[in-house]
Amino acid sequence: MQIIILTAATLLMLTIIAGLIRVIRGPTSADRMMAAQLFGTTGVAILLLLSQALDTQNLQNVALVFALLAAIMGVAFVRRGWLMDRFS
Amino acid sequence: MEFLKTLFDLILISTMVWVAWQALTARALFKSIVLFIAFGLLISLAWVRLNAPDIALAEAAIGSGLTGALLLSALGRMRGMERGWVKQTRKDRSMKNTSVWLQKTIVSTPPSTFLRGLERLSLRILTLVLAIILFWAILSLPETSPGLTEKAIEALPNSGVKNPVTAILLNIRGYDTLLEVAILLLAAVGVWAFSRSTIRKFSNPHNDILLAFVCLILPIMIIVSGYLVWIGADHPGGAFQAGAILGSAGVLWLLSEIRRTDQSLIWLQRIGASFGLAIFLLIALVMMAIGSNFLEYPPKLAKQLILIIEIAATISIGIILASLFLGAHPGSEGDPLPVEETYEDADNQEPQ
Amino acid sequence: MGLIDYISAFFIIAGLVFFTGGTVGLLRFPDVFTRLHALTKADNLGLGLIIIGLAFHSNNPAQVLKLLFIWLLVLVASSTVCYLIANNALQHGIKPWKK
Repeated sequence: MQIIILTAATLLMLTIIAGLIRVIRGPTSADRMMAAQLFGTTGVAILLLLSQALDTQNLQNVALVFALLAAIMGVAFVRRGWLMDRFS
Repeated sequence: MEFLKTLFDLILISTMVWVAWQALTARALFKSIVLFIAFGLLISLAWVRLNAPDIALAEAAIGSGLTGALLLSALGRMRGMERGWVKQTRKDRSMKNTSVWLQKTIVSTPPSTFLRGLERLSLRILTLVLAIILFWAILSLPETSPGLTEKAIEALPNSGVKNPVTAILLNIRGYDTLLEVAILLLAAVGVWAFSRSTIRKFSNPHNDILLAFVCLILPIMIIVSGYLVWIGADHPGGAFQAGAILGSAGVLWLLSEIRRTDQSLIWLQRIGASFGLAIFLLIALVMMAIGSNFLEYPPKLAKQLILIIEIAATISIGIILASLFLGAHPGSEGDPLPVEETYEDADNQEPQ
Repeated sequence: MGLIDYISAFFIIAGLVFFTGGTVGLLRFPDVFTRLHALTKADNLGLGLIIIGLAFHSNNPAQVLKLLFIWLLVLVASSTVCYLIANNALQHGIKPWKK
């Protein structure tokens, strides 16, 4: 069971790398910010899997904080950071 | 199984290095900011793998969430100033002149190509030498160093809490934390000296979904913040992490622009920001009056005193972080605040 | 591995499939709106299935409730942010991709 959980965590790490390609390439600002949003959710999943693999309950609080801050980043981008940058 | 953990760590490390490189060498500023936010998340995972959940909590909340929001807001304002949608204040103009002067006099490039090549070569050699020295220094560290771990664990039962990080932060090295709270207050005062607050016209006044989301999430964030303070005694948590969550709640509230002006918040900002430092100092001086030394809690009362200090510090840190995001002096009662143009006018402009 | 382990592993692998699908969609879809669509699948289903899989290993009902609470929080947050991004994308004049 541990093996499956750790493999899942590693595969999620690889999806983060794939999302980073979208951040680097993405033609508009929205693409980059969306990928950052995905990182937040993937981070929550990795933390929950690690909390099961390493057998500590503290990581679930870290996952809670991750979930909250992903919301802050997205709202800050939409309200303040997104100007008429069509191609940046 | 150990192999899988090592594989995970290796992928994490290489991703971190790659993201850092990309963030430093990106041409577009926005790309750098988003990569910096991603880097913050990865570092938080690294702290988790290094068995430091307290630091992971703080890094996730402050390093990724709050700093990301601050940088995005700053970039938006910079772009707005460039394109003329946001009026520059006098201080903005004088800062820009100063930076131009600095660039011309101090950071200047040499005139000929040969000297430029020489400069680059010498920089590269210096960096390489520095890297070699750092590697040698790290490799020659002893395998295990005693440190103060045993003494800290011995003192734990007398400190009133079970979490060693909280014990050290608030009891054994309470003086450092007192000064840190004072530094945060100084940072807030410094930011207030920069510019006056302006009324920002609503950029999207009828965004009901954002308002509903904020009405749902703000109470949840306040409860989570209180939860982190409460469990900080036994599990990873504590005042700084909870204060960062409270600050994020304040940032969300400011971003959604529920209230039109910020003038009515002046007393909230002033009292809230100094509340933590005041309570901390008060308890320290009361301890001196009772008969112990400055900041030395009697072991029977230690847990309650730590909790009181943590709650006060959390409120303070939250309000200070939110006012750092607001970034301006709230103004005095009855002063007319200048109206700032919004980014909404951008929608009617032609693409440039 | 007992029966609980098999069920939990099944859910976790299913969640992984949706996460991978969401990321591949983020990489390959042609414009902002379609990528948002792929993103929300990863958020809702991917995370939800992983959490259901992990809930089988919890010690008490409070932990299961905490995991479900985290999932609901991520759901609400990511739905709102994706709606805001899409709304502002439309206002900024990004046109949806047409074949």
